[in-house]
Amino acid sequence: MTHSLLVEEVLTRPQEISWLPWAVQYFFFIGIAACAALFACVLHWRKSDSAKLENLTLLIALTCAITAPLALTADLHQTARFWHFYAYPTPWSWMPWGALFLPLFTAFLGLWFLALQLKRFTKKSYRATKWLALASALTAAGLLLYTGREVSIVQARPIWFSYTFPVAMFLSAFHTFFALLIVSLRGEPALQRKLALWQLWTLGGLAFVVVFWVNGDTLSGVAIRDWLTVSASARHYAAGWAVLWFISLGLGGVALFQPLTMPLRILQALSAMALCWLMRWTLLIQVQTVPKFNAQFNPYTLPAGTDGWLAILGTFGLWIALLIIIRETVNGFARRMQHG
Amino acid sequence: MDSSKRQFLQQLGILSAGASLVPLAQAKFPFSPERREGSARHRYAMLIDLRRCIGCQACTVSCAIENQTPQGEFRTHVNQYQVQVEGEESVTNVLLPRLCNHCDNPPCVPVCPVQATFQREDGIVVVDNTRCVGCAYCVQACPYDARFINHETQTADKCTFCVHRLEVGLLPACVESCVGGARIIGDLQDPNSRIAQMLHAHHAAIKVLKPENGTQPHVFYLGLDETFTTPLMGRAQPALWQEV
Repeated sequence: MTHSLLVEEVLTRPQEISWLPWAVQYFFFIGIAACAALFACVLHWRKSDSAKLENLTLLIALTCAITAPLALTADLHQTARFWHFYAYPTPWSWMPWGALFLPLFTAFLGLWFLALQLKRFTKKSYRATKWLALASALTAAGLLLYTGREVSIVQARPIWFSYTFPVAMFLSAFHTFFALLIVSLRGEPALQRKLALWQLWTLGGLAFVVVFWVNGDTLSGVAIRDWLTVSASARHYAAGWAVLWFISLGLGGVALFQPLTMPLRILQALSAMALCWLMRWTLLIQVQTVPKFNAQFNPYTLPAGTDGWLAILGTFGLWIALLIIIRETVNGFARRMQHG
Repeated sequence: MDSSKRQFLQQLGILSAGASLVPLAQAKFPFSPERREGSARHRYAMLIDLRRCIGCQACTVSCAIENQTPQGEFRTHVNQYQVQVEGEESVTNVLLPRLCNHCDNPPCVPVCPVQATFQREDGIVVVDNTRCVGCAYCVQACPYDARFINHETQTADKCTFCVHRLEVGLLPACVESCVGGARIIGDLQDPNSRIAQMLHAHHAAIKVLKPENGTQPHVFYLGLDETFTTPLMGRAQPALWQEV
């Protein structure tokens, strides 16, 4: 090209955001559930004899694993047709693998959780439990792989088109899981310290992967840098990531030397969840505002209804309700067993 | 039983067990989407002669009427740009009609989790909206913004080259209504078709959008500056009212 053109876009059609906040909620909860299942499986197979830790981990995993698929089906514009995934098997697309892994994952986790409670109350242990643990871990790995690849193969959105995408998703979910585990422990300062150390490792890994991704000489790296150059809102989101990362790092660092007080542990869990959630929000929703061809960005404001705030608050509310219901049911049984 | 008889029966057993696998091999369980419907004797494509486009949006309107898309949702439209060569006074307009490119390597098709969107033998990419689950994976995968979720059917929607009209010998609504005759549809398999002849005659000047994506688009542009074949973000001033 020998001439340089000054181009002004006068008339165009922006594209609507078609993956909704439900997808963010799904990626948030399924990531934590899968990481928790992997961790619980390692605990179980190492026979580390920390039934309490395994119980807590499974509680986190199971509640997230029930919430996630509900959010996912709501993201379908034709929710009632979810059975089409089974009627028309399509192995070459990543998405339908979710329809296979998700129900198996939740079912294995549920059975494992039940087996653990039965062992606790009846002192009867089942040999199948360790195979349930393994099956949960395998389906968890499948979920992490498929969710990551389903997004990162989309070349039309070059920001997504990177192998680092699934790794960043995995590490951010794992660090959030550690923070949740720390806040749910009572006492046990040595264990808290160990978990804080692991959380710091995953945070470090996450920073390394994100820096590598953004600076990479890849289609994705270039697209991210272009986005940051052109869009002030992209820079605000990046600043948000950095602030939350530093808060998580700082609290994790303090936890290495002294056990955190409860309010600080809650803050640690909230900042970890916020970082994990904001990463998914930025990558899944905000990236859809980046135009594929136009100069104009696709406009998006979060609506108040079912496809907006209600989706976000509703799924978090469901998760908290599930935590309370399951925990209180188990505790209720425990009390009854104690008092005959 | 003597040994030869036993051997014979053993071999028969192996043979029949093997035979049961034959139908499985013949069934050719597919591991990639296959083209279906339509005739492989045609390959429909569109040439847009921008020298004839006046940006009147008659195509936009006639398509919306023909295909009854919901309010505010369009299968085709015409982008408009104001262009100035740096250092020169004169300003001109560039008009860019946009629609599904009916790519030969359509990235929207393999991602569909239920095979609701597929490519016909004649190259036209369509959506079976009775099967579509509305996951919008294809909307994400299309590099051309050609797909959208139709909020009346809550399924993926896109240009079909008005296949229902082509099949009864009519032109697509946008071609029929084009004031300057800028949109030319035809069969690339027929060397005497106008599109095939024009593509041949203007071979060097023909452009497609985002050729670097390897999608092999089958909507061709004549008279399009190379500036407009790749994404404009950061290279063009967005419409005056937008802040990013």
